[in-house]
Amino acid sequence: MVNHSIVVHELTYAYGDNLAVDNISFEVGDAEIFAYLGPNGAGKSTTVKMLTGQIRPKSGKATLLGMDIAREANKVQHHIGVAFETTNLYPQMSATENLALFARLYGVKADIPTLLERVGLGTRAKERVEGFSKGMKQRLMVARALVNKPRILFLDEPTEGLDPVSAEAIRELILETRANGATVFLTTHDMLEADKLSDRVAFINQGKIMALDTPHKLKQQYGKRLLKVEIERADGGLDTREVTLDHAETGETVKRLFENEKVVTVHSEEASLEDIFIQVTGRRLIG
Amino acid sequence: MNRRILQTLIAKDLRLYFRNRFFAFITIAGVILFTVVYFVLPSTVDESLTLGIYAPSIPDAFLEFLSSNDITLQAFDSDEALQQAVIDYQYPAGVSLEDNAISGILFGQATTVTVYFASDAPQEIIDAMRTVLRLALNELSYNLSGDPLALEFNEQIIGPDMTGAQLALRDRLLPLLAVTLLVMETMGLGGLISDEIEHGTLRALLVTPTTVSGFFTSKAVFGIALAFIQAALVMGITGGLHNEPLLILLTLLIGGLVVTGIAFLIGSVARGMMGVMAWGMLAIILMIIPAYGVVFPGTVSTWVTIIPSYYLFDTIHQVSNLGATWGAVSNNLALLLVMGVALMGAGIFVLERKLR
Repeated sequence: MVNHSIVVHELTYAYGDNLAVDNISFEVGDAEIFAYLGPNGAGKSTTVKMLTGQIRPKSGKATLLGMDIAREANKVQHHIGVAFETTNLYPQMSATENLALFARLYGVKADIPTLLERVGLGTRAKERVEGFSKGMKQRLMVARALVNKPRILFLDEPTEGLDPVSAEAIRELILETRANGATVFLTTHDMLEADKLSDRVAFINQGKIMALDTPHKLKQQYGKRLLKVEIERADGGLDTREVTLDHAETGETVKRLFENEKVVTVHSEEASLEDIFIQVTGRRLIG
Repeated sequence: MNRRILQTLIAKDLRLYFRNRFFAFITIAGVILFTVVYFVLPSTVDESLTLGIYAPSIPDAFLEFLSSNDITLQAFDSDEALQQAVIDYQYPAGVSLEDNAISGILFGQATTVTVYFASDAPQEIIDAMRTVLRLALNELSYNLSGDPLALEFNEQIIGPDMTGAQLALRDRLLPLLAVTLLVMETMGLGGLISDEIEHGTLRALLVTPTTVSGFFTSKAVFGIALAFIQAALVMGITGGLHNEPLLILLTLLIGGLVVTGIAFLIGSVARGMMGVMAWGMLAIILMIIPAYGVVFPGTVSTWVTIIPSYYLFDTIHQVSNLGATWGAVSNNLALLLVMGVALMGAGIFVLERKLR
């Protein structure tokens, strides 16, 4: 039986007349990386705000680690870590001071030097944050979210706008955190990242969850697997043919191509999460 | 609210406050500068006097006698102009010698002379003026008629009645110095709050076990303590706590509450450092206005009593400079407390709305 770190039941929130989150329900298992995908304004941040105790749901219920977040926010907050999308560190403090402050607020003794080493900031520990690059700040925010060894880690667009090295460092940290038994709630609109990291993904659009499953199953359910075959024409130019896999006649079609045409390259292709999102919601994630 | 969290937040605010060079500078420089200003200002009252006089013709013997007693005269064209000058505290006293008074002096007859005293003229000045004028007018009468004058003074105290309360300038300024230090904290604390909102650090705090009420409490404790300590230091160093020290300290503490409430309002409406400076300066100017009523009595109207700092200035002035006790200023303190609580409540309300 799977234990659930997060159980969301018919959760709803509205800003005035604008329904931001509309009656959503889902569960997130222990030590699961759960990606919450949606375009800007879809209701991602509002969901996270409710789950982290920043706002109270208008209706419905969210239980984290068996505690109702609306009633026991303070207790729940001892066990969660949150890394926000926008940088919100104390710029006049050093990296160490920023982490030490939050460790004291949680009432824990954190191994700050090790934590900073893990995010690649060991040598910059005593420098003020105001001199850090965006990538360094983002890594420090993730380190801050880990300072209390959270059982649930909320990450909002943790790699957005980062250089590849910083982004990869954060992805490794996410996997390491999950390996240590923590649940990761990843909010992003980076489909590749979600595909790479998450055990399950949920698509949210206009406040509703449109699809929820493992990336593999979503691709099976909504996507189509293809072979892209490049063929050289008589005049030397290239044509591209698409052969849909999983059909009874696929084998015969491929055979005929190789017998009758001059095949240059063959690539297998599968639907991306982005394709599936567009198919499910009729919208793109960005733009 | 957990005590550990409260201490952590206050320590964090203290560190951030003094890492802002501007606020660190004005805080430390303020205490030093205002203390120095107090000691540089004259500690004694200039005892040479200038009197106002209205007289169609001023006899020379009268002038000679007064100048031999270090008293100079400033003539006015009308009795009304003389009175206004005394009311405006340009002169501690004014003598009105109407034609009938001059003729009385001339013929040695029983004569009534009208003398106007400023309401803040100390008793010793009034007594001295009374003696000097009597002697001068008798001298004049002897010279002119050969008879002693049967003189009667019609003394009128005009302007707000502050007889006997003349103070050295620095003592008059002391409430201004102390309260200015308090009020300056509106910018410092307002800046800290505004930064927490602008930088998003408040959101980061509120997903930890820190509660909104804990955040407000820490800011209030920090703001009140910082403002209070500075003002108390200046009052202590300058000897302003010689009378009823507990009463003055309590007044400063409530003053800290008032300025912290204002700082909450500034912090919630201001955007960035420039916004804090602009709103802060406006608050400081408004809060300083009532001080003029203490430093220059009669220069401000009664409308200043709607400004909370009026009760702060007035209480400190009365207790420190005029020897007032608990009973005399209890109304002031009660009003100040009510205003402080109201401002604090308004500040928290506005800030909470902004957070949502």
